[in-house]
Amino acid sequence: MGANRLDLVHAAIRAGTLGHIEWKDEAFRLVLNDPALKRLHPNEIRRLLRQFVLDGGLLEARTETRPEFVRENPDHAWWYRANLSVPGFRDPLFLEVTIVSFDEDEPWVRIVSCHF
Amino acid sequence: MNRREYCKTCGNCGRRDVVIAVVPYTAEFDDDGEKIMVTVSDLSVPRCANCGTLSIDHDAANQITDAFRQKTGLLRPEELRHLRNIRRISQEVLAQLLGVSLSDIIRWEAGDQMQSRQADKALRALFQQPASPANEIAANVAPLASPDLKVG
Repeated sequence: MGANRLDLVHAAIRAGTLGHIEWKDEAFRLVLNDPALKRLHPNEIRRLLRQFVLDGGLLEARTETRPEFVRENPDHAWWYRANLSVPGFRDPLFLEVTIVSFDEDEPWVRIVSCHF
Repeated sequence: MNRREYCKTCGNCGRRDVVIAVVPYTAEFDDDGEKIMVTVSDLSVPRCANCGTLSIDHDAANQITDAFRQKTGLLRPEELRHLRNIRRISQEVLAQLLGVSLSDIIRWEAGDQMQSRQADKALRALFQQPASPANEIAANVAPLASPDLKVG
């Protein structure tokens, strides 16, 4: 199940002209307030994620065990993480995404967390 | 004009009720230690008609960050590029002068990263100096931070 969903995650990120990637509002706000991210534009982070997948990078599927997240959304039993290399930054950028649309013709993912 | 791509399914309630709405949007941002409120009175954003959850897509992200830049009065990417070009300072030299990475300069000029208030002040100070060779400018500009504490 996780593997099939992971294919869907990669398909979503590759899809469309910019990738079928949206931001959770709370994560978007946190990114702009995180000094470690040095005001990296959320659209640039989205672009980096897309490029990572277009270059053959793979996200890792994880089962959600954190009680607060399971409570918040019991349907999201899986999340997916990527560690992106960003020029000018020493550490990899950690991104966490969930699937929003499971439609194989129009899959979408949502960035729910992003930090170094 | 490209058709706007957004997810019709809500990431919160799972209903396929997301439509583009125009809503007021307010967020608190940290501007180098100072909390500022940024308001976009007419944010065009995918919004779930069922639960009201917003999804920040490419266009909405640009609208919000443009409002942030306007509120804080930061140099815009094209201004920065123009000022650097008329001073004939390369991106590499500018990075050295400010003590930031070349990647920071490239992203500032592309609009892929917003410079900090501190960096913006340093840029303005640098560009206000009389035109002179970069090495003379360098003598008058202190880097913002050590290489390990680069500011963006």
